[in-house]
Amino acid sequence: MATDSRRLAVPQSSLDPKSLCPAKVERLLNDEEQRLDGRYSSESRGIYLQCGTVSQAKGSCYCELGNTKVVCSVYGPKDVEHYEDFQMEGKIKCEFKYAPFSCSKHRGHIPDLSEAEISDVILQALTASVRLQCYPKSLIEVFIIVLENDGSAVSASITAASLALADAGIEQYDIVTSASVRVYGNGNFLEDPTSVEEYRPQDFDSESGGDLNHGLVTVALLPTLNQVCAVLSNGHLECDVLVETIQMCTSLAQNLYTAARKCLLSSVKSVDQNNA
Amino acid sequence: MSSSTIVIKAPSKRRNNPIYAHASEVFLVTPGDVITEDADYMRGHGTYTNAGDEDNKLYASVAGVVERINKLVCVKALKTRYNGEVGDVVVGRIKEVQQKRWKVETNSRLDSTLQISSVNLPGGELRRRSAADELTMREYLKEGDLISAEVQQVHNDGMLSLHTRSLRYGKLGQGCCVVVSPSLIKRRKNHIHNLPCGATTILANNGYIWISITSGDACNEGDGGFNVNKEPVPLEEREVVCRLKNCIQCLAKSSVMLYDTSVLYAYESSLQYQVKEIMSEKVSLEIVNQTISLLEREKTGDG
Repeated sequence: MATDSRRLAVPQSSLDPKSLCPAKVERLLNDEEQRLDGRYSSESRGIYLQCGTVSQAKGSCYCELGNTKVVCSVYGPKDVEHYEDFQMEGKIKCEFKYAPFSCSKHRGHIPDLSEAEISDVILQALTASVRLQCYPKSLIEVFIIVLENDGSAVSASITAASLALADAGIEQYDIVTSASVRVYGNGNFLEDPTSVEEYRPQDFDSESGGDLNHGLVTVALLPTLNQVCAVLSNGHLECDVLVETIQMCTSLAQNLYTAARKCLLSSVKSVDQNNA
Repeated sequence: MSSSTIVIKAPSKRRNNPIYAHASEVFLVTPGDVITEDADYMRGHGTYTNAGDEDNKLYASVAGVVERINKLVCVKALKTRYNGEVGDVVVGRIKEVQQKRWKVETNSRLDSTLQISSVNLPGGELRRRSAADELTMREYLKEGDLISAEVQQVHNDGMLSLHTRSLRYGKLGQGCCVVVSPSLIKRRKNHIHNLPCGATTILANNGYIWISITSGDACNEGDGGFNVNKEPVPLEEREVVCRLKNCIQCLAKSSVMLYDTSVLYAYESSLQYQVKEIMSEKVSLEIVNQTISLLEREKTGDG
């Protein structure tokens, strides 16, 4: 494992003591169709959004989705360093990172493969909305840090990143909103899953019980244009179930638009000028 | 004896601030919002149309305030980078010394360039630039130096070329730089002011404000920054600079347009307070309110 001499030497790998206990076979839905945190399957958690939280960044946004906490900061547009990869369209650099303390297992300082994959999905979602032709030869940097991961961190990050870009005054076709749905066996769709409810490959073996459909789907949406700009699907889903899940995510993301718009307008209002 | 001071403030909730009085009248949009469905309007900055659309709707692409000038519709974002125009006065920091040119950071989207052919080198204006000059570029301006300059040319990708071929511009010596949003600087004929309080301010169009003490012989023209005065600055003069800096920050925080009159009025209304008191929220609001009323009185007096 890579070491970092600039940081305090802490144990390279650490575990939540809970994970050493024998795993209980938990059912995510009880007999009254309630989830572990008391929500019904079609019930999302409350969302909190605030722009302008990181003072040194050009634009920033803080997003809270239940216990999931995400900070996104945007720097730029600025000059690209290397002229070899010259292009007339702007570039976005996106870095998604779980803070070392954010998950039940200690995360390293260096982004691992899963984080790199999530960065790519977020980049895909943002590239669809940013008007890159307005930023020739420039680089826009997007940094996302998950402070606490309690499920749906990717969708919270996408929403936060888009609002941070808007806060930085970067031209976009639309805001991007995003939502996740966990498919839990036949006909069970858990909206806005927590970290316990998120799909893990071992679930498929242990609790599938002959049912093929287990997985987690995240969709990023341009709400006013009503276009899907990124889809991330994990697990094993039949085609028609996947279609149904994507439609479900789309309508959930559409619901977020009002909140996102309100957050942006209030941040604009607070710095509104005195030049009438 | 320690000389601690006690500042008594009004409740922080108090908001009898006239600044936000008209905020409800402005038309705010977020990216993707339809601004107008009327096809007659021309699209300006911060807007876009869908090529495939038949009904010619105009959408916003940034979050901000809609501005209409006759048939031209723009959306003005409140936190933008500086978009340069020819003739603007800018203050910038040298980022890199390259062959024949300097890269200057000017709060613009791309770094600006300052060619060696567009600076005044010591020894008169009409002088050939030799290879020796290229080698001694770093002696004149090195990384981290602040300069004032004028925009000579705007390239089609938005990059700015600067020049300092006037003795008013050049390297900046001792003073203080304040960074505000470029949208707060009012465009005027002159951006370099020798204020009666003994300080010179450069209210640069890119939002970088330079405050320094007016040097004795340079009331009319500077020397292009060749001879940087490194003498210690006396306390009284430093206080003037600090007071101006605090006043400008107060005005910028309340989003009051910055130009010579507003800065001067704020300075005058701050004279009854100590320099450090200006930073407190209550005093700062007081100064801003007084400045606004002075500006309004002047406006009505003229009309």
